Amino acid sequence: MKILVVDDSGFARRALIKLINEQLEGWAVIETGEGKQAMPLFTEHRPELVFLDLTMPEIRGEDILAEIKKTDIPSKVIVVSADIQQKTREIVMGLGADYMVNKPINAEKIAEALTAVMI
Amino acid sequence: MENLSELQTEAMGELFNIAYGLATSLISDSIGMHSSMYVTEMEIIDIENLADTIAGVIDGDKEYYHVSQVFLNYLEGETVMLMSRESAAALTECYSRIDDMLDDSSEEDIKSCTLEISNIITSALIGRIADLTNTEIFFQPPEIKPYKTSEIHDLRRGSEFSQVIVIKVIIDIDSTEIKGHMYVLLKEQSFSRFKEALDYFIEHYAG
Amino acid sequence: MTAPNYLDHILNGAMVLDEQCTVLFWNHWLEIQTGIKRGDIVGNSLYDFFPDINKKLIERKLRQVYALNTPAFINAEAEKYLLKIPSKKISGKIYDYMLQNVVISAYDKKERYTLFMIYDQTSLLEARVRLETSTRLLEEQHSLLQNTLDFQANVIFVMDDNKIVNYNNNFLEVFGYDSVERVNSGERDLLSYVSAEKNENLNDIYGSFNNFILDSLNRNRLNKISVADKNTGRETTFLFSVRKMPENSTIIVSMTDITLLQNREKVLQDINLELSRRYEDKNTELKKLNFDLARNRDQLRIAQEVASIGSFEYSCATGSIFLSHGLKIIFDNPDIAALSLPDVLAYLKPEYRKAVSDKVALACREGGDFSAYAEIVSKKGVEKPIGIHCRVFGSMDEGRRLTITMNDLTNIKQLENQIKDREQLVSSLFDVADIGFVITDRSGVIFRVNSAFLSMTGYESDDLIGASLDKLHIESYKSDYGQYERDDKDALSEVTLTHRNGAKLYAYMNVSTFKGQDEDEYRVLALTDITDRINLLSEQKEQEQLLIQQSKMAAMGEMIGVIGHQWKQPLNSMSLILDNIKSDVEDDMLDMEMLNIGIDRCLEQIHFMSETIDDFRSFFSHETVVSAFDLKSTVNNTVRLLSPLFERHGTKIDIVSELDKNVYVTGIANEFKHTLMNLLSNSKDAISSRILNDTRFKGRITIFMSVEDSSVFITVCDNGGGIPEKVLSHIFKPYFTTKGDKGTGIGMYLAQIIISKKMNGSITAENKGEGACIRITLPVS
Repeated sequence: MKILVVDDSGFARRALIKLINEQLEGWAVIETGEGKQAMPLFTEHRPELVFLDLTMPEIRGEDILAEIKKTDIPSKVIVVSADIQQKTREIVMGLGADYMVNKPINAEKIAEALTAVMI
Repeated sequence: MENLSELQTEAMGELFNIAYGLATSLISDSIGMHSSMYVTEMEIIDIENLADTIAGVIDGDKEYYHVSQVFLNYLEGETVMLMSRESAAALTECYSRIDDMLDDSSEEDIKSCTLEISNIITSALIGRIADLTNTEIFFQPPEIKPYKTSEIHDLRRGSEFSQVIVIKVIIDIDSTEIKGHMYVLLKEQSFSRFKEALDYFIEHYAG
Repeated sequence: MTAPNYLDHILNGAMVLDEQCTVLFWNHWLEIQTGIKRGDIVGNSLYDFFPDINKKLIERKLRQVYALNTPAFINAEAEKYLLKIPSKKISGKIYDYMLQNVVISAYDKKERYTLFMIYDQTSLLEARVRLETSTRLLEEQHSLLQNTLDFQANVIFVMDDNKIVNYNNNFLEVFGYDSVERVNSGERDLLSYVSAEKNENLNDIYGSFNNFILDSLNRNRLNKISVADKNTGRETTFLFSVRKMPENSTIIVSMTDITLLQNREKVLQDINLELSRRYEDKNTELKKLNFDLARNRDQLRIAQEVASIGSFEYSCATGSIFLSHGLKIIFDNPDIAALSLPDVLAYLKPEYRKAVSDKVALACREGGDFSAYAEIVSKKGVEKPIGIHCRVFGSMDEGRRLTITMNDLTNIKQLENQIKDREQLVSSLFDVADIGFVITDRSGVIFRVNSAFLSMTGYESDDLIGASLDKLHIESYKSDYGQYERDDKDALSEVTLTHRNGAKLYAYMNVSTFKGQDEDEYRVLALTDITDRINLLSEQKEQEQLLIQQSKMAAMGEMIGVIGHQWKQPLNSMSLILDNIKSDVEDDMLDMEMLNIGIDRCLEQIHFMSETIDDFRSFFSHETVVSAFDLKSTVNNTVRLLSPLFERHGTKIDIVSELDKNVYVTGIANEFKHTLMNLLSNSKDAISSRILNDTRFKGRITIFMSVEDSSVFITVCDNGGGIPEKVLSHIFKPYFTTKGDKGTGIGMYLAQIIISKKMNGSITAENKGEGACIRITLPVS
């Protein structure tokens, strides 16, 4: 079982991975801070679950989400973003995201997200 | 970054990222439009270099508004927001789409909107720090005036402040680009507290 | 709800609203200010009581308070007010409604109640508006003052207790760049820099510049001081005026350079003096004439009874007459036997006879005395003017008798004519001068002006004679007009006065006062129109600046030619090297070593080329600092730069220097280089036209340098055929060129400005030997 974490902030990435590891045991976590690396890593590892940030330099999280949903890999995507606008949530869900978590994150939010997509 | 560890720098980025997300959502709600806010540059400089830094980003041909707001208690300092009259008028135009009492050619309305957005950004930034560190920070009413180079030089002369957090922010409202330069001036003591706050944030975030 | 009761005691508004803006609390201050009772408003929507409130604004602010948990603000400057409350102020109000700063903060987070604190900012902002207005006015006044100062004075500085606290650039130029430091450190008193006009030893009298200034302030008069240039020793004369700031001990001193005016002033003073003297002479003569006249009248009065008055009696009824002895004398006929009126009238010139006889007839018929003027021809044939006076005696019934007296006016008439002539003489004397004259009496009433003054001011003489001097609005623009009025002695100043058409004239005015014999005071104002000069002065400066710019462009063009030439040789070499490399490659003979040699040689050439460019760049740097520079190396550098191009034009430049050590002169080195380049370029052009006629002709320019006492001489001589004698005296005039379309005509003019005005030297031209010599003399620093 593999999880791909995409966030340009190393700090945010580490925090997220820490929470994931607390909740899920034995999953392999692949991470990247560069949005451009997301798709190559995704097709290479074919992860079951993707945590995706929205605001990144070079490439927008929304575009990565659209690319992922175009492939035949049946991954679940959880968007994690500081952009907490209702409109943003609507856009992201419209693009096929399975769940959206507003930053700042905490254990409850992540647990909730995992529960929601796993069931 | 000056005096900040790599970890602290990363944490500051994430902290402000969250703060701006909140501010953006507030602005979007206020004007009923989707908007994005990008922090294109962030650095910490010595107060000595503030005038030069500002001189480097100011377009001499344009008029700017200078909004300053003092905050006190756990962190003490002042935020200074510089926004060109063009950007301020564009912002007012966005506001006026939902509030028909606003007129983007009225000096007072432009000031009103500039004061509001500046206060929101200051509150989001500094208020987040207070929230995340469980401390209290008081805000004084913001003041607006036309930007004058000499006053920035005076800030340095007072030398009450030591460090400045420089943030260049672009707010994109319905493809209208509004640019602002935000400077958070901190007193020496407050800068060490700010570092403490970052450490607290690092330790407790996602905990 | 209950709110803390202290909110009722504060002098601000305080209200608590819920999310729907229902009022939950309304403090006492708000009750008073709005007239709305707490009991009425609590529980109701704020919008019901204040329908003008911007709902959207409040919604936004509340949202921020809830979302960010930080206060939101309403600003009196931007939003004016939240609650529309009419201003309670009656007098001096600027705003109709109370201006408010509002702080909105969370009161109860859980219930989403917010507290609005409302602060009255009206007085504060009103005060600020007033302050801003008065500040703006003050700024305007200040800038006006500054402009006036800038216009009037070359040097301005501010002193406080013998320390210089502020000064302009000119101050440093005049007193020296170290003067402020020296004065303020107490090393040297400013007084030691200046000297007074009358050779007073200022130091002995005053001790310090501050005392000197204070003294002149107390005397409230215009003063002159001289400052010697630290390099040249040349004295510059300044008029200085002093102002004291009312609230502290700060003193503003402004100094105006009047050196250039000094010569003119001297001439003017001389003329004035001469005219005053002549006027006084004439005046004395006039007095004498008056005295003579009076004396003659006395004599006449006595003589009248003896000889010059005659009379006859005439009976209207009988027509008989009786002639006195006096009349016989007037008629030069002691034996006259006139028996009737016509006999007497026959002595009158024919044109007077009818008038007199008609008047006599009228007097007989109706009575009434009369007087008349007539001229007679005496028996000796002498024409005499006479005054006729007739008195009537007796009534119509008893028969009227007329006593008719005749006064011989000959002497009086002569005197009158004499006076008239004299006066004309004085008038014409006044009108000779190019200087406007106004003569007033003690009370300032004008009784004479000359034609120069009339043409200066556009008035007719009738407009001014008898009018007060005030009509001309003469004002000193350096100081008070009153200053010279109080001054008993002759005074001189620059004044403004008003032309009849309202235009402002600037004039140089000298006032002389003198007393006549009868203790009457006269004041002679001599005025020279300097309006044009003052206007020209600023224009001239602009023009000079323009010219310097133009000449730089011209020099730039010349330089491009020089660079082109300098580069030709290295470019040729490089192309040769590259050609060789190319053919070696083609012949497959190129090895690494040869390639490296080729590249090294190319780099050498490129290095040389870039050095050339650096040389020129420094030559054209926009250096504007006046400093002492080494003359010899400056000349050498310029010549080295130009030599290659000149040699290509068949002209050799030699330097013959008698300077055995470094000689420094003061100025802007680049300006001097340009000047020299200009001279050399002129020589080259002259030589070129000789070469055109004779291709074997060898051009030669020699620069001689020598020093004598404190002057250094630089003479540029050529063998270009010289300057035609008739243009020699014009070559330093602007736009004068002998080169037709090729010349701009500003080179020599500029040379003259740079050498004489900016470097305090002189420049002259003469023909010598086979060509022209331009000689520059500069003071050694």
